[in-house]
Amino acid sequence: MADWVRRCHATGPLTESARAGVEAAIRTCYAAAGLPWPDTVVWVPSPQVGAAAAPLAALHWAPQSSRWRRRSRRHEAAIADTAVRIFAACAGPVHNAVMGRLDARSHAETAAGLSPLDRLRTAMYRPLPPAAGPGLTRSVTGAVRSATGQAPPAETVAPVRGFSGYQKSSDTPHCEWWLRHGGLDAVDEWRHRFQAWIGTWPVEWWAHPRFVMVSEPPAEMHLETLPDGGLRLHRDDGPALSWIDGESAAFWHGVEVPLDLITEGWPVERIHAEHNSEVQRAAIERMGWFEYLTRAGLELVARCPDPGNPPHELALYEDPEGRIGDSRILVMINGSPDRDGAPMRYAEPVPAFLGDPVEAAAWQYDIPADTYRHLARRT
Amino acid sequence: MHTYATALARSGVSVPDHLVADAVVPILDGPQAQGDLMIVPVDAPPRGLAWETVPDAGIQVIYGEATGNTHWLHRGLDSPSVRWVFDRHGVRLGYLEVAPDNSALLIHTDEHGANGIGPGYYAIHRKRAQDVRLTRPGAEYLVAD
Repeated sequence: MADWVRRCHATGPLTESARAGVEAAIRTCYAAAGLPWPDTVVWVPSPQVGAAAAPLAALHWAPQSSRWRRRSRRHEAAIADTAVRIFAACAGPVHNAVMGRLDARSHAETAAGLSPLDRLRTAMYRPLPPAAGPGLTRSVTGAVRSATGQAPPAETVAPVRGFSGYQKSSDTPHCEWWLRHGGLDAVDEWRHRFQAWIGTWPVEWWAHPRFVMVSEPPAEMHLETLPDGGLRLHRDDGPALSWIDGESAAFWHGVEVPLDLITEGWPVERIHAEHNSEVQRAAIERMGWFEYLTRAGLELVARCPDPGNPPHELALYEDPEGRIGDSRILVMINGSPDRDGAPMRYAEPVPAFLGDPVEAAAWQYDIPADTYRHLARRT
Repeated sequence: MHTYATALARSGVSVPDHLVADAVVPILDGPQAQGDLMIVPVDAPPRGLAWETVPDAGIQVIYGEATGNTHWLHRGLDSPSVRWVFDRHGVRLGYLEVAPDNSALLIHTDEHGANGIGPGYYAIHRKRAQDVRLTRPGAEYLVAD
């Protein structure tokens, strides 16, 4: 487990020997797939640069890089094909051997022991289409020149479209665990290749017959620990990930969000204009539900004394415009004040079918409303 | 009789400045809430559970020191017979058994203080909220304050 946390959460810049280790692992992957080693390894400072530069370099090597071919995206297929061949040679046999030998029962039995590995996935990052700043354009141009000997035509560099490297499957840590502990002798011959494959996990990389592009891991990574011990990308005062070239990515409790949502917070109008509902909810949480219901003009449905928590009240709100879907917002006040002595107010979404604040509070703890009415004490 | 200060001393922490250290912690056998946890009396827990006596060090019912959200379960004064079993299902974390003439303490190491629990059987529940992501109407998530 600790090995995988290190692999998935590596930070850069990598030392010379770490880079050499990654390059050797990638070379082993090429050899295992029966592919000639391209001898051109281009290190880029961030996955944003690689995501933009790798397809442009591939375009250079595509036969007749005409407009039609560019639209057909066959140059990107060259990267995808190489990736598939390497995966099939290095990881596929182990995945198949391990998965094929596990029946449903042993899956269930080991699920508890292996579940920490599943949590790794929440902290993995796949680069999104970056905004093409002048610095990024320069880095992309440099990377393409290193891979092809020629700078790409300027108009192809901006705006760039994201193109991520390998998708790292959470099956791989599972398979590695089985290789270590499962006594799978039949797959011994694949062990070497598989080790090379997982040796590339700290970096993002793009494999092509004529070049390999490799991105530095982030220089800074901010994670939060969940109550169950899992890890998640999160930072409330800046980008959770940043790379040496100044590229960054912001996360709110594991959800990738625009940076200004974190650093400035969004006004209600901007929140309602957002189409991605995960981002929308992150923005509301960043503002706080109580602040949100005040600013968004939600209407009071009902209020009543909070049993066991005098002199405080419970209050239930709804949005007459239906912007929060099938939810209402329940506001309750903590039994104990916060460190400034002020009452701590919580506002949380509950299902809209609840019309009575006590029923809503009882729903939150999944107990009968009558039990909540007899609450003896709240701290 | 436990005060807030003597209860918290069990978890090796001192009383936060803003709370009253010598407030008496009442021992109750009705439902009680401690932040995002609810102590719910139950008639009888299911049979066949692997109960354990709460050790001197206590049990972390919710582990999360990184978030400050740590609720400890301890035996009360002169209370050798307090047992706990994790039995997670939905919002339920597990069951608590407090023998006659015994008591238990649920302690939050930061803001929520301490709750005294009298003889009986209880379930401890977490708190949930409606997940308002429109793509998954009706889904729920657990609240950690």
